[in-house]
Amino acid sequence: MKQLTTFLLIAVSICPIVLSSEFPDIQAADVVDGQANTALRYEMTVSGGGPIRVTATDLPEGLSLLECVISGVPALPGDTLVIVSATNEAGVSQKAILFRIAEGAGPQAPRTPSVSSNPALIQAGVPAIFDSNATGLADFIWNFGDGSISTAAHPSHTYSQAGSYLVTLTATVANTTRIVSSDFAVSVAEQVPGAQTAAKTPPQTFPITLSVIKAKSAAPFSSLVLGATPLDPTLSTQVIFAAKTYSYTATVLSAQITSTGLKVSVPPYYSKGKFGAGSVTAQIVQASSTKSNPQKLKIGGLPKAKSVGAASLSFVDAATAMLADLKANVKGGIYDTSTFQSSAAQQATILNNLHASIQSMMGSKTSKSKAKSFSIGSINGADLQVDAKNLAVCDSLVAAIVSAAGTSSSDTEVAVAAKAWAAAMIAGKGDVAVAAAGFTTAYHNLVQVQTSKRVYADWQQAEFSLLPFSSALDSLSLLLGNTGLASRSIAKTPPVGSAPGGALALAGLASINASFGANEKRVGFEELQKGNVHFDDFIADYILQPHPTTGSISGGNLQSLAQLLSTLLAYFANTTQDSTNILPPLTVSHQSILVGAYDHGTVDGDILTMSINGNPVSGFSPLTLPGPPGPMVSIKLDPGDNVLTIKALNEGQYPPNTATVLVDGTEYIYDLPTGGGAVIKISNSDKLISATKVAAPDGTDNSRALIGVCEAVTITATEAVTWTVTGGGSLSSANGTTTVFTAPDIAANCKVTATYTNKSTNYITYGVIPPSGQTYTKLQNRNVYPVGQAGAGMYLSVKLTPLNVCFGGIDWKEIGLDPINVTGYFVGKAGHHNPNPDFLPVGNDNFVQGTDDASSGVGARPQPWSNGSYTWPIPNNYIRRGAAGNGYKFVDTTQTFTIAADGTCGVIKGTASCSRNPNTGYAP
Amino acid sequence: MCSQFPIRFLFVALLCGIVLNVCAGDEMSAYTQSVRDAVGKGDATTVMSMVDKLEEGFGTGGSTEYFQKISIVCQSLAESAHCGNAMYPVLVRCADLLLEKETVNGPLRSALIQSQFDAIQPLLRELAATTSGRDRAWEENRAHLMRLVSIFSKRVRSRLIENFKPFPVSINVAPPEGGGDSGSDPASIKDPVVRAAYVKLIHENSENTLVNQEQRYLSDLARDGFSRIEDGIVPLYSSAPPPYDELYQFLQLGQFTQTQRIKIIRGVERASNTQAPVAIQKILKTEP
Repeated sequence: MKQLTTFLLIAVSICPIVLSSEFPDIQAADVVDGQANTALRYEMTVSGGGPIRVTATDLPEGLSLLECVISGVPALPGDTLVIVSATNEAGVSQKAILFRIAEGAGPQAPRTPSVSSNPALIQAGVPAIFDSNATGLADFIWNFGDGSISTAAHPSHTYSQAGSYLVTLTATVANTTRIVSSDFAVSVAEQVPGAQTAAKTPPQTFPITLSVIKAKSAAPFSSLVLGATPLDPTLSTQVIFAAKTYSYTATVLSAQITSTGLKVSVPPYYSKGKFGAGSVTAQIVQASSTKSNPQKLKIGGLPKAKSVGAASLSFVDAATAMLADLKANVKGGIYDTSTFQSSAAQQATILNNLHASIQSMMGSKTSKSKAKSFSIGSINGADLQVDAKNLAVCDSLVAAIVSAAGTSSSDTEVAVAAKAWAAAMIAGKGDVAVAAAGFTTAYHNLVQVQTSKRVYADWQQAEFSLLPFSSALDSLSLLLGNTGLASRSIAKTPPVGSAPGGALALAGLASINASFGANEKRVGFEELQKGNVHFDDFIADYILQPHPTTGSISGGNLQSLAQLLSTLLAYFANTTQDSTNILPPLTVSHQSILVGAYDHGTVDGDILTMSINGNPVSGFSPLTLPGPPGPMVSIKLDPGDNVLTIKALNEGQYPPNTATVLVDGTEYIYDLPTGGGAVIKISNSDKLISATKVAAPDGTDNSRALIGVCEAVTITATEAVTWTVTGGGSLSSANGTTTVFTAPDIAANCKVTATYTNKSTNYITYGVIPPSGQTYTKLQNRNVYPVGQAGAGMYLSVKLTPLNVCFGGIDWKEIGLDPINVTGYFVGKAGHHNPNPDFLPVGNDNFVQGTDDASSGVGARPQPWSNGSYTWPIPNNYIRRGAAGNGYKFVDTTQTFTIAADGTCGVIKGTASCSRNPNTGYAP
Repeated sequence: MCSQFPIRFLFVALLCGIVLNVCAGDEMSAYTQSVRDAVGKGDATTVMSMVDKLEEGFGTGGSTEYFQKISIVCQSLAESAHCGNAMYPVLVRCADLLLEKETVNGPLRSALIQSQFDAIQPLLRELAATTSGRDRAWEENRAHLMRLVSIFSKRVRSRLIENFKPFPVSINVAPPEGGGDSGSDPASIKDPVVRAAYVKLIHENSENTLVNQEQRYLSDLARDGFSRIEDGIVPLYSSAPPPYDELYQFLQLGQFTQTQRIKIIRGVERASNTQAPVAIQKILKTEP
């Protein structure tokens, strides 16, 4: 049932600007308490870059927003979730603040009203009573959705036809002009004989304390829902796990004091509860304030007549009994066999598939002997309207189930599922064929679940994920269960702390959507999305509801259920809600992605944190989840694998924590317990392709990130982007799929960033290095000196180093200086070095394009000879090709001339050298 | 010869040289900062006056300082986020002034072309990014810019020697017989005939080096730098219907190669979603 809502109000303000270049950040409390008719002032802190626009939605009446301050005099008590949004150029941040306005002095304004009707199961032809539980309302207008309206405060209305109707209540707050409204769906069933009398009983609410005095196992039961409000504040969910006392407020349809105690009737679904016959006894130890005589009350309406025995009965026995039931009770006339009989081929296909599935499963099981020990016995094929071949399939089916159940305790869920489906098949009042078809698919998926459990963080978590399925099957068994098998089909129930999740049920809504009528869908969707109905409730109430008159469940509904469960199982097989490594890794092509989150259920104060690679994500540490779309922030990814971790800090007002997390456009829906979390592995497949013009001289390929000064790199993105560079250098174009980055002419770390149209970014960094040295290679000795004449020389090539980058974008030259270390023979003879004054191009192979002549001139070493030497210290400069100036010095080279008393001359330059005797020539 | 000077004088000379170099570096840094400050403030008047002052000092053949400073101005304009409408006229002024100059002294030939390229490239980008609308004035700006681009392209083409084989050059020239060691200072050669011959060899080697240097630079520019110009032209003609005739005339005027023309025309066709006229299509197919 929807809550009454006020008209949407959006307050806008401009907060004082706190200048920085950051995403807006809202610092505010999660909860603000106030009192009606009492002044309230609450100030937030909003920071971020540039002008920030702040808005707030759904402010309680009387409050307004001005410059980050929400103030005013709240007019009405009640809880209101206010979404504050801060927007600047970087994006939008949101913060949910719960304003809790208590009753104040002066006239009491009504709380947000609710609406109820009685009886809960409204039937055509039976008057239904509509009531607003609110006070302080006036001017009621009830629209019953069938063309009728009423202005009474508590109208009675009779629907003439079964169906689903949307009831709308509109009223004004007394003595004000404020209008409130609410709508809710009403399902009207066909009239059940005798129902009219029951409907006249007014609703009563009794506080009931149930004492579970006998439990089947340590963790025996699935959910028991007696009412919406647990009195035990320690219970966050209406789940009973062990023998203890629980207190609930239950809506009681009728109550009567009898000679033996208190007889209580609760709505049909609840009365059947979740307790198997004979397995649990619940005791009403207190019912209403005046009745103190404890009376035993069996919770659970399963007839014992078809029970197959004690709880300790082995499953083989159970299966045997089940088939006995089958033989005894299932008749052709009971089945809805229209579909089954419509196509022999369809029948054969279904059963063959089933057979294949079972055979596959049996192949992996070890308890074949146990399976074989089971005998299907003699079954009347005519009764089943299947032939002998198909009966053999059924035999295999049951044997497989037995096998699965017997392998290990960890396989309990498999057993649960299989047993329940067997119950559905054999004991069902619907269509065996469609149930079997559903089972085939479902069981395949179930096996996958079992297989995938190995990659769950632990099996406990796997059980969490299986819970809704078990619950659903539980309901299925319950409602189909007149075989008694259902009472034991929940031998294994979920661990403490788990709860069925509306989000999981949503995964099956696609199937429901395809299978149900419009009214059913509308009701089912609304209830599920609001989280008001647990998944098993949904199935019980909307899918497996027996016909009021015939008591049968339609084959179509069963088929839908089969599809739904198949979908769910497939979902479970591939995902998990709170474990690692189950979700397929998300691969993105950018180094920055957008992440966001919002509450996919009722916005109820769910809080989560998010971190990337262990570092908190700004704005999400923590974040109170608002409604969609929620805040989005950009986070940077490391190259390769990244881990986005999500953790629920609470479960909000309506457990569990229902979070939709958006990661780079992919939506993940979670139901998380407090402390639970999820991990999304994000693989950053960098799609910016970087290619230098040439490979490095040492062969390092052109994808390298280390480049030489002035070296050019072509960068290609997967789509048109905006290019920017920091750290120096230039880009050929600022937009497009490709740009050419030319490195600066000095050492630098440069970052070229591509900004995509969705504002996400990617980047490549380059290390830019200048030449740090050079190697000289002797090409040949200079042979110009006559015999007997002193002198020596060589031709050299010059190559800039290091060789793992390319220096083809620069020019090079030597700088002349005066000689140093002039000794002996050369004193007074050594002169200033005067090299080529112009820069020489450097090739892509790092060779200087020119030849060095390191030699003495012919006739430059006249006699008399004596020992001596001198050195030219040679600075080496480089410059960006085409630039003006003298460039940058990067290394010194020494060139040394020597002579000996015998006239032997030598030249040493860098690592190259030569030595020549006037008479014997060059030394080898 | 330095060795003939007193050590004290040598020390002073070296010190002066170091100080002068430091001063030159400081001056260039200060100039860079002043340009960036003015550009950052969007002060087009100041930047324009700096450009004019530079131009006054160009002289006949330019100088290293001129090209260093004009390059600083152009790069500051190109890198600045404020290089929008306000600074556009300054860039145009730079480009106009630079493209008036056809030749300068040998060592600065490449620097002149580089500065012209530095001025044109951001002009192309800024004009394409103009957000004030593509009105008549914008089209006139485009025509003017394309004229500059054409002049530049033609100049590069006309000076680029096809299949150029670098001249053999030496890092240290060997003097004629009796002249001393390779790379010696000519002043150290006492024989005037040998010294003159040596100076001539050095000059020839230097000229050859400059030719090699310029051709290598032009070759690089034609291969890599022109792709930037080609990419820059396309957005100027992206509004449908593009004036293909005008564009093609500029491409002819600029002596763009057939490959370049096809790339630019096809790019404009894609950007404007408008096919070039049949006549141009035919020319593109038939031109060698």
